[in-house]
Formats: sequence, C-alpha cells, structure tokens
Amino acid sequence: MKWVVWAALALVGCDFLDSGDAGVRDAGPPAQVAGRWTLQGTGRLYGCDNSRFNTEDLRLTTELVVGQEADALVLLQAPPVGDGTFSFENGLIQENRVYFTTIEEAGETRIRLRFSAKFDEAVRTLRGTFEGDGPGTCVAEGRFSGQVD
Amino acid sequence: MRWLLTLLIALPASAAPTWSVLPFEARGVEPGAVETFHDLLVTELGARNGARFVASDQSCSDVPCARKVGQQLGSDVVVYGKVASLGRNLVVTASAVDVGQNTTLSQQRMSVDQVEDLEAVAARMASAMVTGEQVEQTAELGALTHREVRPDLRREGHRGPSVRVGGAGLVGRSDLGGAGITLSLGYWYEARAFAIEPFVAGRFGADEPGSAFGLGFNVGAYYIPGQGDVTPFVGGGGGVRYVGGTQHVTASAGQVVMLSTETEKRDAVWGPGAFGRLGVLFFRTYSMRMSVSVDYDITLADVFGENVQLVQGGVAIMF
Repeated sequence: MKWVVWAALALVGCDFLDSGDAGVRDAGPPAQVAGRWTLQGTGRLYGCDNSRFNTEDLRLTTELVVGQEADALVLLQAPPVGDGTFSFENGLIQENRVYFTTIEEAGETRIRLRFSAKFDEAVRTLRGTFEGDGPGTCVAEGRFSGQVD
Repeated sequence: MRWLLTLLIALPASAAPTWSVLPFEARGVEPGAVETFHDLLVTELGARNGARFVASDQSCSDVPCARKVGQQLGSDVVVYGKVASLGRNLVVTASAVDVGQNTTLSQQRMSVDQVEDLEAVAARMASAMVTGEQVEQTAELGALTHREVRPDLRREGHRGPSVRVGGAGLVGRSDLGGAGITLSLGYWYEARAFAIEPFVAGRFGADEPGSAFGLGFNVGAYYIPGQGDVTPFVGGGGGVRYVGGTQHVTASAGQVVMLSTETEKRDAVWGPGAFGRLGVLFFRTYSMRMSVSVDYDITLADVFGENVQLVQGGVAIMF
C-alpha cells in the first residue's frame, strides 16, 4: 500500500512543480528557438568604482537575431558596435533550457553577461536570469524575459 | 603771577578791577556756539572774581592787540581767544592779559569732543584764570568734559535677534544642482569693535536636476573696524551641519545589450564645517542694523563621496 502513496505523492509533486510551466517541454530534443529575440530585464548593478552608478534599478534591453545549429546557438547578424565587437561566447540549448553568454567590447569597456532561461514553445517566450561583469568593476544581476519572433 | 591775580581780585569793590572778555574767534565752529561760550565765560569769571566787565566788539589774536584794546576800554585785564575745530574736536584757547603790566596772566587750552562741553570749558577756564592754576587742575564733579569721563569698564553692547536670507551656489558640485536659498535665524551681540552671532541656518536646493540641502548650527565672530552707519566687517566661524542631496542619475553601458538606469539617489550626513564672511554693516548707530555679506562655507563631510562647498550671499537684519 505504501508504494501507492509514494507514487501518488510523486505524481502530485511533479504536477505541482510543472504547474507554472504549462507547455514547457520536459524532455526531448532541443527547442527551436531561432529567430529575432527581443529581451527586456531588470536587476541591479553594484561594485562599481564610481558608486554613483550602483543602482537597484538596472534595466536591460537588447534585440538579437539568433540562429540554431542542433543544440548550439549562433548569432546570425552581429550588431555593429562602433569600433568594438559583440559576440556570443557560447550558446547552448538543452531541451527547453537556453544558456548563452554575450561579450561586448568597445575600447576599454567590456561587458560580459551570462543568460539562463526557459523557453516556452507555446507562446515563444524566454524567461530567466542574467548575471555578469562590466563595465569596469560593476557586477550586474537580474531577471529578464523576451519574445522570440 | 598768582599773587597778582589775587591782588586784582582782592581789591575793594570801589576799586574792583575792570575786565574785558573780547569776542572769541570762531574757526570752523558755529558762531552762535562761540558767542554762547563767550557769555558763559564772562558769567563764570564774574562769579569768581567780582570784577566789573566792559564789553567790546573787537576781537584779538595776540597780546599787543589785546593790550591796545584794553587801554582803549580802560580795562585792567583783557581776555581773548578762539574756538577752532580740529577733526572731531573743538580746541579752545584763551589768554588773560594784564594791560597795565603788559604781561600774560593766564594762558589756557582745552580740547573737547562735543560742543555741549563748552559749558564745562567756560567754568574750568574761568576757574583757572582766577586761581592761576592750569585748566587740568580745575577738574571737579560737574565740570568734567565728555573726554575726561572714564568710560565704563562694563560696556553695553547691542543685542537682539537676527534674520538672514540669501542665495547659495555649490562649488564644483553640478551633480547636486546649482543654486539654493538660504535662511538663518540667530542672536546678534555687537560690541564696539566686534560681534558674535550664534545662528541656525537652513539651505534648500532650488535647481534641477539634483538638489542639495543643509541644516547648520553655527557660531560666527566678526571684526567691525568702523563706528559709522556704513562700515565693513570680516569674520568667520563654524559649527555642526547636516548636509545632503539628491542626485538624478542616468547612465547606460553597452550598445547591443544595453544596461541603463535612471534613478534618484539620496545621501545625507552630519559633519563639522566652517565659514568665512565679508560684508558691510549698515545703520550701526541705530537700534536696528542691516548687513550685506558674502560667505565661503565648507562642510567636512562627504555627500556622494565629496565634501560640500558653498559660496553664498545674503541680507540680514539685526533687531
């Protein structure tokens, strides 16, 4: 009888965990996330040399055109950055999980951000967190969401 | 000489000496005041020597002239002199000439700083001429001049509340806005050459973006060199302040993944401070004064990483 209770609890538990992720793939091949990503986020910036820039009201915005090769993310159109560069340091899709790191360098300014998100295939949205370093000694962290078109 | 004066005074009434006090020369002094002095001198002499006086409208400035006039008038003694202004002072000189002997019986000089003292001078000079003493030896209660009265050791100062309003500008802190308004309330104590003023001062930012504020508890001390109705003053002081400000921060980094912020930041601290003040004090001889001043003020406490320096100007009224 005990195994029935454990099985029931396990089922309820799994259902409870997944209740907020309706439509999210639980297993299987990498989700198809290629497209134009429009992302917005909020968070905080701290540890800056100039404390004036430390803030709890950090905003993040970006628009990226991203391609997919199997479980790898690639940047299809590298946006222009004046005399600097912008690139994906890495990009990976594990089922509905998306991980990528961006690096933007212009002059002595370098911003490296690591993103981790879940992709909702039903509504084609990304929702996750980011963290990173730069500019300077600043450390950034926060949450973001976005649409994949 | 004293014996001669005594002899002249001691003559019997029938043989009372005849004196003439010639009109005094007025030099830079109101003639009416000099005439009054002349009359007072005649009265004071008459009260002391019992002489008979012969009037004359001639004035002299030396002994031969006086002797000549005296001979014309038939006087035994002729007194002549002048009242002259010298800066703020009135200098009175008088000589008594024995016409018969052709000698100067008495020569007196007094200096006073207000015209009202000519009354005392007349009494003192008459006394000196009659007794043969010097005028300095004739000082007595009721006949002292203003200059001779020793000032009180405990001096009375002007005191009362003070109100100052003005404007302030931060030095090198554009992040906290530009101009501000200042208001201070204090207690002004003013002595002859200095003033002390404890006061509470408030400052409010009036310029965007960003703003600064301050509240200070200070004491100032000032040197006031002049006594007139318009005199400069210089000084300074210090105290404890609560200073702070609000910054409007907009910043962005990154061109592809853009990190940006737009926020209001506040910072406020307590700290010591000091100020220097240069100004002009008006209406010093009145019960209510006014001043116009310029200050340099520094508070040794960091607001957003830097101290707060001000240049401020104001108009004050001391009641």
